[in-house]
Amino acid sequence: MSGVKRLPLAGVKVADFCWAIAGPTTTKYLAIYGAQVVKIETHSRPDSTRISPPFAGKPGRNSSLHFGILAPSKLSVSLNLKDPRAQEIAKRLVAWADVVTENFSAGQMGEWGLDYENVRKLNPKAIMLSSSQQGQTGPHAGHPGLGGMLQALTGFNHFTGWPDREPLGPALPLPDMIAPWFSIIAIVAALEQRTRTGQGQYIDLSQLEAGLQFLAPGILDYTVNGRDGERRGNHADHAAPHNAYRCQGDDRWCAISVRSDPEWQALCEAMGRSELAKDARFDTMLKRMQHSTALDAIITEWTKQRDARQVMEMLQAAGVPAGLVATGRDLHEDPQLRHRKHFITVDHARMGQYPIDAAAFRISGIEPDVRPAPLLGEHNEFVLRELLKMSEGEYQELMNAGVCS
Amino acid sequence: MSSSSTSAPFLPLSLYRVLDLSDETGALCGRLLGDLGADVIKVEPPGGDLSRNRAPFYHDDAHAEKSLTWWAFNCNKRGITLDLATADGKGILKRLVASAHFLIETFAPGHMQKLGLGFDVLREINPGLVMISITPFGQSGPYSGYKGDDIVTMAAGGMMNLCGTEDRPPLRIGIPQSHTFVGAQAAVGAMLAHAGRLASGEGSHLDVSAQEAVANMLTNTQQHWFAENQVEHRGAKHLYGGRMTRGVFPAKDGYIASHIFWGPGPGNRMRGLAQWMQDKGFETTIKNTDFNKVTGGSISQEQVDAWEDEMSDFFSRFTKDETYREALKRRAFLFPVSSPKDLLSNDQLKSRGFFEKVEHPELKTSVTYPGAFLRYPGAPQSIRLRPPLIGEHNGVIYVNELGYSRDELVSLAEAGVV
Repeated sequence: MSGVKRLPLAGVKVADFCWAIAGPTTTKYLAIYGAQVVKIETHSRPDSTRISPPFAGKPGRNSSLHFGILAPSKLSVSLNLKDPRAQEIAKRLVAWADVVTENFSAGQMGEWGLDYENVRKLNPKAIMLSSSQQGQTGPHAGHPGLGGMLQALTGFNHFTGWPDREPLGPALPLPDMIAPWFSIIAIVAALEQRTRTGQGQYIDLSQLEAGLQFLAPGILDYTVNGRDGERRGNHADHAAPHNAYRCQGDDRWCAISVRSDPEWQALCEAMGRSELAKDARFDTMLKRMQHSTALDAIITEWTKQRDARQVMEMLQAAGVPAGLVATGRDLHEDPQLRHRKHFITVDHARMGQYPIDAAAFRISGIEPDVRPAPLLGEHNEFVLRELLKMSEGEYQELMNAGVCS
Repeated sequence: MSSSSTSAPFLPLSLYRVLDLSDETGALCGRLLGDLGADVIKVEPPGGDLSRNRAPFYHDDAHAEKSLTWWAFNCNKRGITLDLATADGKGILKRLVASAHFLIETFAPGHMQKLGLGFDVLREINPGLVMISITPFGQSGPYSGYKGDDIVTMAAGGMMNLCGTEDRPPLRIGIPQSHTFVGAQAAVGAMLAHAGRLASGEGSHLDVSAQEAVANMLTNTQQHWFAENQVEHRGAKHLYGGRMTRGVFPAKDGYIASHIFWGPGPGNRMRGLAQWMQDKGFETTIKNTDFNKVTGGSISQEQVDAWEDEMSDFFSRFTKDETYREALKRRAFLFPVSSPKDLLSNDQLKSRGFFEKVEHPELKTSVTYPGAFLRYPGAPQSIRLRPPLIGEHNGVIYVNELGYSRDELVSLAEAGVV
């Protein structure tokens, strides 16, 4: 490998109006891969993640760890956008930027005179991302909701759960965590396209449409076969046993998947039950599918006496796919994630040291630049004086007038 | 360099070529680069990619050309077959690499090196190549040799811990998601590496982990452990403001997703529902409560449960569609739990032209697909190419583009190379 290269987005300027989760996750990756991201915030309505738990120490606007992992390496400027002079600064940042990002409900940016039509007038080459629940156009654009509920509209819950129970989804705002990947791809592609065409671009990203990319096989099963989806617990068509199995301790589990005869024989050996491999109830995949409930009971007898990570490591050593059902604690203690340096520790002025999750990829020769999340308004002077080139007098006048308060 | 058959100059990646050697764990990465206009060539072993055996199937016909899972993630690609274990196969891949910009592979760590096709070899041929290697746990480290399967990486990445009911095992999402999570994040890495290459001229090798891709979907569960030594657990009820909500409520024909909101600001979100209840003459305490004045500490779980009983009673009188239509009018915070059928008739998706009809002439039919995540001006529709048949473009690519003769292609086929 050659030495460390320049960061891929070095020199890219981002005026970041994003808040909550989906938008800030997008600009997090732009920032740690080299873009200069100016987060435009207000004191009167701080970003919801600034005031959401968990906190490092006393709860406050500068101590949320959730905000801490969403805003590394960003600059923060606080603007009182009710003041026309603050709106003027926001417009100057739009003119300064290569990329403008926002994820308000459809229509909000227009109220500040910052919808794409106006952005384009201020900066014809700007690339603007609007990430919203259902897109900027259409009869349901602007309908309010939260990510955890949008997950239901998208269809994740319909396919998830036990056949005899109500639909479930992971206790997460999943669409908020899906949309960013699509947003980043579209922004980087637009930046490259601009070098050839000289044109800016508007990216109208619908989180619903992004989420549906992940459920496409289930959609096709309906459009082709008329099958309207179902909940099947942990059942799979390609493997049996295929489930999470209870292990030693309080609510500890390990997932196991057996996809072939050799994996079945390896599982029996690893459990010290080689006679099972010859048991006529289980000696073919079709029979294992048919007797999966009996199999689950047999396997649980073995797993429940063992530590979940030990079960994973023993079975994998024998060639059987297995993974412990990891909690937040397990992720911190995971030897593989440690090897990959998944948690990058930064030192924050108020929160002290805290870990930020790395991306799922390592790019040879490129080390992301991960710095602590900014305090609210921490970079007011830098942004106004250095980036927008204001004079000392103009800057002081604006500060005295409370434009940044 | 891009093939005239797929060239779409208005798309951002129309100048670039992708070699997609991946199975189901990387297919979405190539699909996304294809959606952006790249010429993606799926390189399958003779007989086809083994992940062509994934259900569901077209008309339930379990055939390698009819896997709907494979179709879903392999649109906007051309397809060739190539046996990388043969000397001719390796030689052909190297010729393809010379004119490619991205290569995606999902073999076990070390497999490409064993074939003599590791990154160090390929970058000698093409110093600008961005090679994307996707595995369950990564290229090195104590678990790098471990086997993955969707349920394994969904568990090890931490998502199953947050999904399910307390009285039953942790659950995976019913349609495999670790593949889509890692495929999308691999495409992000590929685009960042591409941006770096445009500046430096140098390619790079990406080591992408599915476990890590799942962990990156969890919002802040890792921070809860770090800050509070608190381990989150799955539950039928999602945690909310220190209280629990059931999250979904039965409707006449399915379920509605909603919950109680309270506190200054969020309390306003109850107004639409309260007004609807009142208009319907429904006996409820919700309409008499100012949820802006309710604080988390001032209400008991019993109170939350009582309000949610009222919601449950109310929603059970309507269909999902009736409820969503009222919610849209009243800006009420709720969504239906959509099935595919609901999504196909969703007015918003219809209005945006999201679903696209794609011709499958070999089956004498057209199939309705979810469109791509973006629609670019100038493109008639986002899916330009239906998923390729096995070896469909062998002739075009080997003969017309690489310059092999028809006779040589016949020999390569007879030798099992293509």
